[in-house]
Amino acid sequence: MEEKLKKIFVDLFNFHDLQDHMTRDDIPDWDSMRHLSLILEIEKEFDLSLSIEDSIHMVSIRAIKEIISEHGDI
Amino acid sequence: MTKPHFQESIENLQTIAENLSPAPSLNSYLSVKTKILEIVSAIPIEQKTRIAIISTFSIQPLDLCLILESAKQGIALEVYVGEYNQIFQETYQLDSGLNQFKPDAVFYFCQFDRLIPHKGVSAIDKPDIEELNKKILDLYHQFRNHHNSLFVFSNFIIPISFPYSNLPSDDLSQSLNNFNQKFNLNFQNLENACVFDLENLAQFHGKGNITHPLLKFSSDLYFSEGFMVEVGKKLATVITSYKSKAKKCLVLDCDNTLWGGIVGESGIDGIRLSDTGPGSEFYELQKRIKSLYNRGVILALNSKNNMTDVLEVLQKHPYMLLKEKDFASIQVNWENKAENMITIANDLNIGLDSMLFLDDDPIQRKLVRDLLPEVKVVELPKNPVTYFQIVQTLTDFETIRLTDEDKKRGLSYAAQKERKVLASKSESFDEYLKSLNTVIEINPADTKEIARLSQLCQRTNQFNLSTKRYTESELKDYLNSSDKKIFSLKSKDIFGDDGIVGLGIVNVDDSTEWKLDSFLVSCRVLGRNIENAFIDYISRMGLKSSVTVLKAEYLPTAKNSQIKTFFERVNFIKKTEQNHKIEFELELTNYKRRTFPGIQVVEN
Repeated sequence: MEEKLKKIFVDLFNFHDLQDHMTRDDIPDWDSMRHLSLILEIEKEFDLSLSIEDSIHMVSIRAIKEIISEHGDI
Repeated sequence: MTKPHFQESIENLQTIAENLSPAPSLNSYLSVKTKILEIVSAIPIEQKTRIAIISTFSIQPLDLCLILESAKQGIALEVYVGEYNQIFQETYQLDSGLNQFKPDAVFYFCQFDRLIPHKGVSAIDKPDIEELNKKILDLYHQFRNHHNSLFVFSNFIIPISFPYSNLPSDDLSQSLNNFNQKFNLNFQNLENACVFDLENLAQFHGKGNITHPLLKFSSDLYFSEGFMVEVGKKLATVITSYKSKAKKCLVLDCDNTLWGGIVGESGIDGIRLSDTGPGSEFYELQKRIKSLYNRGVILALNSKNNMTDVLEVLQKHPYMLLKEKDFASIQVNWENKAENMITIANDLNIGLDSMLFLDDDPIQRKLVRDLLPEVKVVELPKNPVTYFQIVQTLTDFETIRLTDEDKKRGLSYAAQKERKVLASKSESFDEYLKSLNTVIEINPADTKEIARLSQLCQRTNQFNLSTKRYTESELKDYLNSSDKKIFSLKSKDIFGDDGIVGLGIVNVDDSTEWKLDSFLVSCRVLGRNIENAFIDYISRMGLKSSVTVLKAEYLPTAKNSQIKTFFERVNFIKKTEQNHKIEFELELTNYKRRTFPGIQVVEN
């Protein structure tokens, strides 16, 4: 999961130094449009269907990982 | 050599478009956003077409998609996207973003339940059609108060009926369906306005795929990634036709394009063309081509064959939907196809860049593409089963409004062919002109003629003095102005009625000097003294109003040198010439009426 996620952040935000404690505020390009992109990419990459609540909560790396894990994929 | 800045910017945008994946995602657009906007902002403002998109839902990045799709057609855009779900504020308030932006064209995308929300209408109740219609007309008139530009309103996507059942569809789907049908009619009476057929596009794309539930419910993005791209492409074609870059003529190969097999080898009975089974793929294709013909697209044949073989198929094959008379020019011979394209262009008096070529043979396609880069050559797969779909989705012939002249164009070119036959049989040119019994009618333009006159401004490239592309609203303003006179020219003869074929706009604010602002005649009627009779009429009108000089300013383009020669021939004197711009003058004091054998001039 770590690697896939890192790749998504490089592709979407051109952000290379991804760490668990980071949030939306730490990543400059993470605006609301790109947030949607992020959700779509995560859905595609991990083959899951996310809820709106998931989308709202996915504002930090830790949260993203938790949500992906909850959906059962690693 | 340094390229002009504009061309370079367009090419940069085209490169970005080419590098996008075939099915671009939201992120593909977002990742090139900065680059696109940088290029766009560097293009001088007067070289950009200004497009506004106003919607009741989140619609980005449609703007980026539209910029790239238009760049593919050589058009640079500046796009304004209205505030989210603020269509009324954007339209009604003087200082709104839309009104400040001053668009050349505006596109509205609205969900019906957001247009009339105060009635408590929700997406499952049947909407009040009258109310909906009134709301849209209000928007139109409010917009018209401030702008002359093109007003495009998207129709409504009819939801898949729910409950999803075998029972007849619910009230909502039915009433929206009715609405969409009436909507087109209503819009025909509005100036410079047209409907964007979003419903049709949604049907084509598949209604199950037009929205992505999560995008819709979390961010009110109504269009899915895939559908957004389709909408962008279609919008770009509307803009292309508005910028008068639409194509006019579809040139077709015969063997293995219009029918299966080679007629020269297997004969009329051996080719594959039928309404069922093998050969029906070509029949389907011909249906699509015929519908283009009915909408005013000119058809031509360009085929390596014996003329007699092809004519036999055209005249006698029971499933040949396209008939001999449907083709304005038939070039069936063993010449090289690029030569034939040039012959067709000359024959029809249209530019090579108005032509589209359909041929199953990649070698012929390459030849035409290499020798005549102006011609658009449609790429076809080897297997002909999808040809009909490719033709059905061609967007190159888009027109903003269908006029009576469009519907008659096919007949009019057929008449042109008969004229040529007559001309070849006549003993002299004068004899020929006389036998045509041409009647032309010249009148001060009427409001009802505005749509066609504006279309002539957009379409006429060769015989056009100033190539000013007036919109319907601009022409209407001129009609009401005492500074301008607008004349319309109609023509008919023994072979048919061509309708409105010419336009003259004269500046008459000076009582002693008139100046031609525009003078143009459709290429179909040129060479029969009709254009001469038209300029004679305007000269006489000047004389009648005690004007002493008729001026004409020629603005050169790549295509209109023909009209310069014309003005020289009809005795206009060249006064000044600067950067190929020419000021012509005709002394009217001693002007004598000219008559033309065989032409009867009706004037009011």
